[in-house]
This record gives sequence, structure tokens and C-alpha cells, in this order.
Amino acid sequence: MGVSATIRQADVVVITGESGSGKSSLLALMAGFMAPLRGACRVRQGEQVAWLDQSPCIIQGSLADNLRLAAPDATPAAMQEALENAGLGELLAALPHGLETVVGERGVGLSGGQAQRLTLARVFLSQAPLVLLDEPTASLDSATEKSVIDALLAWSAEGRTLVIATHHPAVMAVATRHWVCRDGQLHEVAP
Amino acid sequence: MKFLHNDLSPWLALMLRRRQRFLVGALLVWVTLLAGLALLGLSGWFIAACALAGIALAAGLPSSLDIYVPGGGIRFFALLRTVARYTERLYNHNTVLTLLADLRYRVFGDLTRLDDASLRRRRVGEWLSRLTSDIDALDSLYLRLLVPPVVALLSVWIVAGFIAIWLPLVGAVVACVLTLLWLVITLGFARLGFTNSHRQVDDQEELRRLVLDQVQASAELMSYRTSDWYRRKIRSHEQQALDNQRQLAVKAALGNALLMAVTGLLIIGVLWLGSLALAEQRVVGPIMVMAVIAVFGINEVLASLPAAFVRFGTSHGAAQRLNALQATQGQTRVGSLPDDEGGHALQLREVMFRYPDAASWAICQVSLTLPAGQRGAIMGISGSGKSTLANLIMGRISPTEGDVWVAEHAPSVITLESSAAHMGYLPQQIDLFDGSLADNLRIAKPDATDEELWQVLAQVALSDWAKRQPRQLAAQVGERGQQLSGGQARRVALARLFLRSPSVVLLDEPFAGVDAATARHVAASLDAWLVGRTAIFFVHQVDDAALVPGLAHQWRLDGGKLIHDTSF
Repeated sequence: MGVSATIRQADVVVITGESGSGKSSLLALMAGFMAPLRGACRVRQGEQVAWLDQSPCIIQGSLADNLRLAAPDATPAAMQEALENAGLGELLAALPHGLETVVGERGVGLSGGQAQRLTLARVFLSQAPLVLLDEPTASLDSATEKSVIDALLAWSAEGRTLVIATHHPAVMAVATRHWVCRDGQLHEVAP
Repeated sequence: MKFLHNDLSPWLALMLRRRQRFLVGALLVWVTLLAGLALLGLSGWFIAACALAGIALAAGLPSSLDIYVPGGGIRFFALLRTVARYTERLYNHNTVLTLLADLRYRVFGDLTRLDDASLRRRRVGEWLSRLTSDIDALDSLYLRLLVPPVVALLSVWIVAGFIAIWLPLVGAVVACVLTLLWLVITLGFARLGFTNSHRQVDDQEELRRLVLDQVQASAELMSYRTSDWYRRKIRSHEQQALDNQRQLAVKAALGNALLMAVTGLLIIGVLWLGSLALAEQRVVGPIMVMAVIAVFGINEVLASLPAAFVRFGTSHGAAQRLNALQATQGQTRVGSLPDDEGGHALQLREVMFRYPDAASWAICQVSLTLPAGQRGAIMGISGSGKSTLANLIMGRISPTEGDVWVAEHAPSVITLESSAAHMGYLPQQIDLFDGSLADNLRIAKPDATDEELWQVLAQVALSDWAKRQPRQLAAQVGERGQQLSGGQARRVALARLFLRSPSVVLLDEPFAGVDAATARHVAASLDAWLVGRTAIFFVHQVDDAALVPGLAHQWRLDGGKLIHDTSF
């Protein structure tokens, strides 16, 4: 309701607030999934936005097919690098068919943690300057949680802008700005 | 040919169980076709005979023609054709529906015998398409590929034999040409269209998958701005599928063109040979006309064959995919659990489990022991392997390595009846059927009295709610129980469990979606009911120790590995 805010490049913004306070809606607006009723939400035109939420979306197809959702023209070398950055290098080396290994719906071939890492690899591959994350560490095992936080640090070091809805203390420690969502209103507090 | 026989024989055998129905059905089709041919031939003869008689009268020659017998014959065949066609349609529709029921029964039976790991390999939608489109494709085996060619060949020979009574040479030519043509449009066209029609099945499945993925990945596609790319990908697949279908249609049309050309030439040939015979006075005019018109009518008998046979690959592909279901059946179940009072001991030793084609272990070196009658809790976030572990103990999947023992029996080889009698499981996903509350409860105990139902509803704190419903126990729960909230549905499922008397009980998140006060009431009932049973609670974490009283052991599951929790 009447939210105005500006995010500058390379900002790492954490949004907190109770469930139902509008955090997810705010992220969905920035991603372009919804249009504002009034006002405008401007993201630099035509730019890619990377999206990550707590239920990793794995399509039925090869690892490469899954990565191409983020970057259709990526080379195998770039895909391999992205998978390594996301902590899947070991798995990739163990797979006889490599990038062409088929992974199933709901990531059946992959464990929950591996599926979430695959979505991290998408972000690494895409070079999207704005990364939106909706509760990225909810329902993750401890090792995967660490991979996510490492990835956040890496993206922020690359100069990407991050907007994260989270309550996780370790994720909040990465932030340079902190917003609190309450009853559809946004308040900025000191990080 | 051998592989075709191997793939289709189980289904042909299933159909042949009703061979009497099929014979009667084929006979009716045959009578219909012959009545049509007889009608056409006799009419030709009658018109020609009338014309000749008329010409003779006009020329002032004496001429007589009995119009009553042939007129009666025409009426008879016209009526016979109508009645036979009606009866045939009625009878064969019934046969096809019976056959459909047989096929569904068989395939559904195969599906129910699949273990959890095999079921998870495919989407629910894919299983549905096995039950629907694959069965439809097999169904056409009888209706389009078995009965019509047999009946057509018989009709061809009958007509040829009939003509041969007066014109042996013409009869022989008709028999030879049409038998050869029959071979080409059945076997030849089955081969011609085999690759295309086989591909059509795969194309459809691939397209369905791509479209479903597009919906599922819509957040990624929109945010990464790759929707257009993905849409182009679907379009190119669609184009390929359409090209393939067009090729198939062209081949079917080619078959029909061939059929028309050959029968057309045959008519000319019969006319020519008949005219020669007429000139030599070996035959009278009307008979010659009848022969020509009968050959004309034979076209109808063969017309459906090319289009049916170019699609033979579709039926074959469906049979192959359904055969694969049988190949993945699990081991046979023979053992049964003893009827001990006081619960059964559970033991897992170095259990490893990997889903088929999975990249890593879902359960890794899990060992645990739970003595009979004791309670334990396994905690872990979703995806940590809790449901897999529960399915292993229930015997719905077998460990890849290591052993699972329930009262020193491997649960995956215990008969389903014994397993249902001794083991109770409240899974994460609850299945309620579209019916009344009482119907859903009586699944667990068909002879339960209303008092028993009210008692278990009281145990799960649903009796007050049920009493407020206008129809009380007959209250409808809706499709998949959607009239109830998630927490209510879980409590109905728990009440269902209370109606049984298992010795081992696995409870996956029993209090999910249930408010704190209700949860305490339910927990107290559960505590009393669990006395003398072995139980494992699968939970995110034990927030409130009062909800899971009497725990003897506590473990934590993280990434498929089990850690004994000694902290409590």
C-alpha cells in the first residue's frame, strides 16, 4: 500500500516481516509476475532477473535443459563452471552422461539439496544483474544452506543487486540494507 | 515380426478370452457387408433385367419378367442390412466397452503392483495417459485391425465365388486381384506407416511434457526473460509432430487412392471380360451387370483398411509401453507377520536406498533399533528422507543395500493383507475419497458401527464438528476431501487409523495444520491408543514434548543420514 523505495546497483537488500505481510508480493512485483494496481515498478528495461524460491523448479530433462531456462545459448563450459560454483562439481564429475543426465520432475533424480543447488547454478549462469530470492534457505539441510549463503556472497562480490525475503540470521548478515514489511507498508531500518 | 508377436501377444490373449463375443461380432459385420453387396448386385441385376425386358417390349418382341421374387429379394436384403447393421453396432459397442473394461482392469492392476520408487519415476499425468490414451490405442486393435480385415477377406472370396458360378474366369480374376490388394493395404501399409505412427505416440508425450514444464517453470521463464525462447522450442516440436501427422495422412490417402485405382481398373476388367462372355452368349446381360456392380460394392468393404493399418504403430507402441509396466513389477509377496500382542520390534541395519536413476542416495547407511512397544521420533526437514524411510519400513520400497526388519521379517515381502493388518501408516499426503465421512472411515473397518465411528471422531476432536453438520456422519467430504481443512482431513485419516489395530504405527507429521489446543487433545488420545504398539513419529522437530509423550528414542535425519539425538 503506497510503497516507494529505490534500490541501487549492488545493493543487498533484506526484507523481513511476518508471513502475509507482503514480502512475497513485493518480490513478485519486482520480478514482473504481477503488475501494480497503481504506480509503477521500474527495473532497468529488458534486463534479466534471476529468481529463486524455496521450492526449486526442476523440469523433466537433462541438467543442460534445466540450465538453459536461464540462459538458452550457454556453452557447455559455462554450464560446467556454473554447476561447480553452485557446489555440484563433484556430482557432475560422477555422472557418466555429464550435462546430458536426465533429472526428473520435482527433482526426483536429485535430492532436495541438489535441486536447490541446480537453481543456484542457473543464477550463476545467467549473469542477471538483479537477483530476487524468496526465503531461499527455508527447508534446506545444513550443507545446502551454507552453499546458498556462499553463493549470495559471491553474487554480491560480482556487483549484482540482491533482494532477499528472509529471516535467516546468516543471510541477514550479508545485507547492506534492511527493510521491514508490516501491513503492506515498508520501513527501512539500519542493517 | 517376432517382436511384434511378443509385444502384442499378451493383449491378444486377453482379447481372445472373449473369442465367442468376437466371432458373433465379426459374423454380424460380415452379414451386414454381404447384405449390402447382395442388395447392390441384385438391384443391378433387376434394373438391367427390367431394361432389357422393356427394350424387348418396345421392339414388339414377347417378353416376360417376374418382378415379385427379385423385388422381394431387394426388400429382404435392404431390411437385413438395416437390422444387421443395427444389431452389429449394438453388439460390437458392447464388446468394445467390455474389452475396454478388461484392458483397464489389467493395466490398473499392473499399476497397483508398482512400488513407490517406480511410481515416482513418472508424472501422475503420464500414468493417467497409460490408463487412457494407451488403452484407447490398444482398443483399436480389435475394432480396426482384427475384425475388418478378416471380414473383408471373407467377403471378397464370397463375392468372387458367387460370380464364379456364372463366370469362373471373372471370379478367379476378382479373387486374385483383391486378395493381393488386401495384402498390400493391410500388411504393406502397416509397414509403410509404422515409423510415423510409432513416433506419433512419442511426439504427443513429449509435447505434453513440454507444455506442463512451461507451466511449472513459469516463474523462471518470466524472470529470466526466456519465455519466448521456450515457446519457440514448443512450437518447433509442435511443427515436427504436425509434419509427422501430415506424412501419416498422406500415406493413408495414398492407400485409399491405390484402393480406388485398383478397384476401378478391376470394374473395367470385369466389364470387359463379362462383355466378351455376353457376346459369346455364355452369360445373360443382367448377370453380367450384377457381377460388375458387386465388384463396385466391394470398395466399401476395403475402404477403412489403409487408414487403420498405417496407424498400426500406435497400437504397437501402446502395447510396448504397457508391457513395460509389467516388467517393473516388484518381487512377489509371500510372508506374513506374527500376531503378537504388544507391538513388533523394528530394526534397520546399514540401510542404503537410491531411487532408480537418482544421482545420489536418498537414505545413506541408516541403522536403528526400536524394541517392541517403544516409541521413537525421527526429525528432519522436508526432503531429508523421512517419507522414504517410512516407505522402507512399510515395505512400499525395498532397500538398495542393507536390511529392514519388522519382527524379523523383511516388510517388502510380506503380503499386502498381513502388512495392512499389522502396520499402520499416516502418510504426509492424505487420501480422502469423494463420499461421506462415514464412507471414508469405514474404509478402515467396513463393519464398524455408528457408535464406533462417533467414538474415533471424539478421539480426534471432530465429533462436535460432525454433530454440527446437517447430515452428521453422512456429511460429504468432497472430492479429495476438499470440503475439509487440511488439519481436519489429517484428523479424519488419524481416526481411520484408530479403527484398526496395527502393531507398528508410523505417523508422518500427525499434527500438521492442527491448532495447539486441538493437537493436545489428539495427542492424548494417540498416547492412550499407542499403548502396546511400536510407533515412530516423523516430524520437523519436537516443538512441544507434550504432543509426543513417552518417547524412548530420538533421531535426526539430515541429507539421508541418521544421527542419534542424545540431547534430550
